[in-house]
Amino acid sequence: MLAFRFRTKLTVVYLALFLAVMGIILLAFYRSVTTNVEDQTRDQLAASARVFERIVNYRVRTLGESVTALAQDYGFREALGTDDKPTVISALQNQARRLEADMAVITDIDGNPIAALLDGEATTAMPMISDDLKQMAERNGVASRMVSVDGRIFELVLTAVRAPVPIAWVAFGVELDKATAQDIKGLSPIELEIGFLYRAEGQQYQVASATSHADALSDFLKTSQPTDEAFRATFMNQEHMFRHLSLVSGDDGNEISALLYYSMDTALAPYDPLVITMVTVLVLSLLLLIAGSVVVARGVTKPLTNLASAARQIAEGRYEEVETESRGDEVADLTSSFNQMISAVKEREKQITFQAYHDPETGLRNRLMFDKMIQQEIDQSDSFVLVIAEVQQLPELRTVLNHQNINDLIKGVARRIEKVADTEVARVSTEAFGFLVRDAEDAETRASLVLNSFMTPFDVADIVIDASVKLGLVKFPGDGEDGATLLRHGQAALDKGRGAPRGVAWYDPDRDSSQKARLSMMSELRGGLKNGEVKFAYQPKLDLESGKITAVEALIRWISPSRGFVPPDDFIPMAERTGDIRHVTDWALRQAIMQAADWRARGLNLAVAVNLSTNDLMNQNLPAQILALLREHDLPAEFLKLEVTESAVMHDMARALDVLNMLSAMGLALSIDDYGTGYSSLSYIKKLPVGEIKIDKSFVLNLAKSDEDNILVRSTIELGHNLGLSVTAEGVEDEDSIGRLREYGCDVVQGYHIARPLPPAELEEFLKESEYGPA
Amino acid sequence: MKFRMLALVFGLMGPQVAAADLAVEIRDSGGQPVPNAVVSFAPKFTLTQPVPASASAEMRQEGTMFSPFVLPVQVGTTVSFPNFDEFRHQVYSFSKPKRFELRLYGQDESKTIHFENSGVVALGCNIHDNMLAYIYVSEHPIVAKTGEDGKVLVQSLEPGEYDIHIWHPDLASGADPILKSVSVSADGRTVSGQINLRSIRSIQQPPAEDDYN
Repeated sequence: MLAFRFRTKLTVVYLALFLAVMGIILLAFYRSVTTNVEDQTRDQLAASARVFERIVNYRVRTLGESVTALAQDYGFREALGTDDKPTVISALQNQARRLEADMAVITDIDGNPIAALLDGEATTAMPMISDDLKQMAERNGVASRMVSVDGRIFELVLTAVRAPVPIAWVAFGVELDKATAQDIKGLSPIELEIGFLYRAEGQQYQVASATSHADALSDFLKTSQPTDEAFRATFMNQEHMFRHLSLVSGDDGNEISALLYYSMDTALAPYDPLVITMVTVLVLSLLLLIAGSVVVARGVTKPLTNLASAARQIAEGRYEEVETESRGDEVADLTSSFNQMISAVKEREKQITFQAYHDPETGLRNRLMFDKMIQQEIDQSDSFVLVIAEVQQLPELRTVLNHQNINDLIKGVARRIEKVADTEVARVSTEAFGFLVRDAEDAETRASLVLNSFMTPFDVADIVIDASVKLGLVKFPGDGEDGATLLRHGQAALDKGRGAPRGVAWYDPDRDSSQKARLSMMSELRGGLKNGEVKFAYQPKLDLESGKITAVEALIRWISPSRGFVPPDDFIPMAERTGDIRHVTDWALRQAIMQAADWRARGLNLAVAVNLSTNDLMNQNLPAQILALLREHDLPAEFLKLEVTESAVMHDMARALDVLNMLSAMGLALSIDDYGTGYSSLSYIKKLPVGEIKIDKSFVLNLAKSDEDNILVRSTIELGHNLGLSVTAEGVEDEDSIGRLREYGCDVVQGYHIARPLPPAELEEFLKESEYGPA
Repeated sequence: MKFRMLALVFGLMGPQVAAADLAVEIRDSGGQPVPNAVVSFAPKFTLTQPVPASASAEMRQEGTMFSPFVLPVQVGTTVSFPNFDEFRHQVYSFSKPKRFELRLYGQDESKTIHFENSGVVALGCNIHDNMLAYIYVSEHPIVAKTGEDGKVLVQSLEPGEYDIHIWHPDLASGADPILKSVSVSADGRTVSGQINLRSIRSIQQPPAEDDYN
């Protein structure tokens, strides 16, 4: 399109210039020819007019000589002198014939006609012979004048007959007839036409004779009378130039004139071949010009087209240099620049591609690259195994290592895996690496080698770091047909591998499907929180010293219409992972506070304990949220207790401490739940703003049978007391256990032996009837 | 046609009882003298003594010209035409009073013509176109011609009444002007009158220089 447009533009510009120049030339040519022809014609008409005058003069002179000769002829004079009329007439006839005169007239000295001849015959039509003509004849011997007689024009030559005194006038006349006109025409180099005109005083010009078309000329004169000496007019449908030559303009008002005219078309006719030649030259030049400009334009546009197609190739990702035939001109410069651009783009794309497919921090292949590797492997191999390896303890290591150390560690891990597994490794997430093993049989061996290689610690910046790794393995084909599925299933396998004894697991489709079912459960949970499927059951906590129930633990109960009773262990960890725990916490806090406020309003002073998850401890807004709820329901802070697990605190202790300190400052009582299942380190608990530890029920359930548990529980209670903490025992299911716990100094007990978790109404009923009911 | 005006001035001079000398002067309107004017007197009484008729007159051809240009004669005069040129002339006249033709007479040859009718006879030469002369044949007893000074002296006129006829070659066509009943007496007096002349003067041209020599 561009090329075409450019070519067209160039052609049009050339064409316009050419046409303008040609137009000027043609105009100048036309003007010059027309002016030239007009001038020539005008000159010719003028020349012909002079020729005409000369011819007339010549004829007059000749006729004059003849007339003089006759007038001097003695016999003639004698005949006149002796009034011999017959002789006079015959002599006149004879002389007229000899002179080829069309008219002969003789009068006596007073002008009375003696004889008149017209075309050789006697006539009565007499031309007017004026006195001044006679005087002129007497003075000069001969006088001539044009006269019109009966619509004919004659050049009349007059002389006196002297014997020896003037005794008579004799005149001969020759007609200005068609023949005369044609004689004059014959002497002109151009084919002009001549007409002889006459008019009486006050009348229009009449045609006496003409070389041709006398009638047409006569008609023409009816509409256009000549006034100027030279003029132009249309005659017989052609442009004519006229020259009007006045011959006689007598005192008597009669006028005689000659009209010479010439057709401009005829005058221009010789130029017709020239015009045709010029038009032919113009057309040929035009074609040549178009062809030439197209060729020139193509010379410019072809390299441009090449560049354009190269640019399209670049757009498609093919970087091929452009060849050009031009050397040293703009096109060559452009092509050179273009090729430089191509190499620059190529280089930059390489960088961008590298950045796109590599981790900027470590320079390792990234997740995108791994996707590509998987896809390539899918395309090339019949079967292979995808392995996801996750470095453990990274969150903990981050607390002691700086960023650079971590990156160095990551790189070291990748190098080691590559070396051991003898394959290319990609970093698929912050902590995880992926690699492919082509030989599926060999996969487990390689996995073992990787696991074992981590026995050797890593040395990063002179720090010896122990790191472990967990693996998940996925088979292709079978466990997934595309990269995305394989990766997801690899993650699932890794999840499983994390919990496996050896730290490695194959993908288990069944496990994965239950996972899926649990995911769909989350959406149902969100519904359940709103429509009342989820409720609290409250398990009383018995204060052993007072023998009264002063608090209850709120335990979540979900009766799903489709699933029936769903144990909290089935949906709480899932909700923590998916983030839905936020909704659960919102609901729980509000529900617990409302319930506590409700009881307090009805005179039942029970503190309600709510379990917080890891996510809740990371939520800096939680204290404000709780404070708002307490105020909303006008509940003092001591009526709300919060329980957290050790692992929840340990996940990110610094942040958890911030939140816990704020909650403690608000006057809320905090407890460590499930004490004994995790780190169970009293040294860190003393840093926490908690007032209570709850010994996990797994230690309490068998208290009656196990000495070991007895020791553990007893020492834990003692330690707790030493730290100034209240100690609660969970899972109390028999009287014996209560006795032992009381003996050990346990502060609070909780369990089925006192009461199972109860709905609020049942709890209230229980409290009314029980001996433990609040005072 | 334009006319020149001629003023005729008659001065009758000389105290004579029996006869008077009459001086006639003719001038044109510009005051120029008019030569070759013929003045003839027709007495209205019977002359006491008849004027002797001059029996002969002469019209010479000399130097390819007639001489005189105007020759007034009385009726019945015979005029001789002597040729003084060394070549021939052929004198002719187509005038009504006398038509004649003197064919090709040579040097010193003289021919005579007798003019019996009154009138103006224009003479030409058939060989030499320039030659022109007039013979005024008068029926009156007294005829005179003005000289180069436009004057003529008529001698010995009997006193009495005359009709005076004037003629000139340039006279317009028509009858000669006549001054009627002019009384000529011994005491001098002046009479004036007017005649019309043609604008083109009839004069005899001398021959062209090389024409005939």
